[in-house]
Amino acid sequence: MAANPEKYAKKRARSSAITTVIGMALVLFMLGIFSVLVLNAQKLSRYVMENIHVQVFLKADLKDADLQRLRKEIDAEPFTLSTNFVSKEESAKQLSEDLGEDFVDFLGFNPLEASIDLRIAPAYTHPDSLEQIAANLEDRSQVSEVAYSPNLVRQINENVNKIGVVLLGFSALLLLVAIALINNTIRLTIYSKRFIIKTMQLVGATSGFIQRPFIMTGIMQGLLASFIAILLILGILYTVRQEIPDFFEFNDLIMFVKLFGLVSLLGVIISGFSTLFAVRRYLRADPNKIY
Amino acid sequence: MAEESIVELKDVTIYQGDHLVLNDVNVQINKGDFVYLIGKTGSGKSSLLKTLYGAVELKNGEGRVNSYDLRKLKRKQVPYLRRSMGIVFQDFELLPDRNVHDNLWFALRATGWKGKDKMNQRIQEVLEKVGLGTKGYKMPHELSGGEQQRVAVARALLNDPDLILADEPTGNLDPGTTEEILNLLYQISQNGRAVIMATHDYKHMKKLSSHIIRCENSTVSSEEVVVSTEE
Repeated sequence: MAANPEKYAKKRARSSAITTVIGMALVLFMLGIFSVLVLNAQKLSRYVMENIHVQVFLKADLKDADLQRLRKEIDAEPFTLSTNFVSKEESAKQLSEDLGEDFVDFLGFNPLEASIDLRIAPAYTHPDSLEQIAANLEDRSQVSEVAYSPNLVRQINENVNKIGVVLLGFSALLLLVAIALINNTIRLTIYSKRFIIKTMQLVGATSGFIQRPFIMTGIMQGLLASFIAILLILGILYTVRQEIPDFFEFNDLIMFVKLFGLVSLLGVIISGFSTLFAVRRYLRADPNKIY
Repeated sequence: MAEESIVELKDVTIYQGDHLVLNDVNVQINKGDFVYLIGKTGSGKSSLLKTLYGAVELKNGEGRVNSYDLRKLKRKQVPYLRRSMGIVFQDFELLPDRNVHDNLWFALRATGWKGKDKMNQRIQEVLEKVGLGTKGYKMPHELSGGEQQRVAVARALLNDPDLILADEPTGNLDPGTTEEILNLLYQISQNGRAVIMATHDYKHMKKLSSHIIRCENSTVSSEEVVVSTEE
């Protein structure tokens, strides 16, 4: 080491760059994992919203033509996502399976009514609009009863909102922490080069000329850090998928593009601007005050 | 006379922060002058030089260096003012993270040079002028103090400036090396450039004929010393 101080100096400079990149990569990794959660929470809430069912029970003596007309009417409504006709026999079969007992045999007749199973479009899942939809359906002559569970709907709605706010708050906080951490790491690196910056100024280099290589390095380090972060995220997602296969879809390309775009963009922007501000600070500093 | 003068200061007052350092400064320096700037530490030598290279703002009086009016100097012009002169410092101010050749390379690139061959050739020229033609690959910390200072002089010569400022260039050097650097700077002035050198090393300065600018009691005075150089 003492025999070759040049190598030692280079090694030290490189290790400081490596520390910067690793620090940034970890912060970006946290941000990325968090974004996965946020993106998936959206998907989960959409899944729940799209699976809110309203059961429309039909009058017992309904003719086939009336049934078809009612179904067409409901299909044409804006709040309908899809409809599914469940006949008397089908619901009896379903219920027998659920009960584990053939109650039709036992009773001697089938007491169940045929129904239309209606999935509500996500935009109409608010409890108030569900109430209106139920009233609207009940008014029709072919309908005997409309069933849905307003409490479940209300609960889901409230929880989705709460989780959304909490996630958003956490994202904002995490982003702030990320910026602060990366900014601090970079400022330390530039601080250690303040004398070099001063010397460059004394030789007659313009501020732009001094800044450029620093900013290029900052951007490259940001890119490298986000690349490492993306690899880590992919690793984690792969592991999670082994355990919980339904957690997310690997072929959800748009999500991945969004996620990796976000991570690399944040990496480059935060790193680039932190470098710019840190270098500017010493470019403008009074030379007597940097010691 | 007027076209030959490189530095002109008229009724200049120099402040370091709010603290008055030098008052009533009147200096004119012409091409080919070798000027000693002497005075005790803290007497304002460095502040005077800093004013000349734009590190201390000129607030009172008139000042001109080459074609730059120091009163109207903007922050953006400072790099260009510095390119019109060469500066040598007591602590050398080399870039510690790159070798001698790359130090000079940076200075050339920073001052707008282009063309690899031209730049390499210029670097070799100035290194040979200071007697370091074979040391371009060395890192600054591998050189002795005298060698580092010669690299700094080489860097000051890169753009062939009319004015060289040297702020205690021999302050960190032993007497033998001091003489080498002094002779080097003196030769440079003999080639028609002006050299201003701040020093408190009275022993060595007597040997070369020069102007002397003395900083004392917050003001400056000039005198002329002529030494018969033929030995």
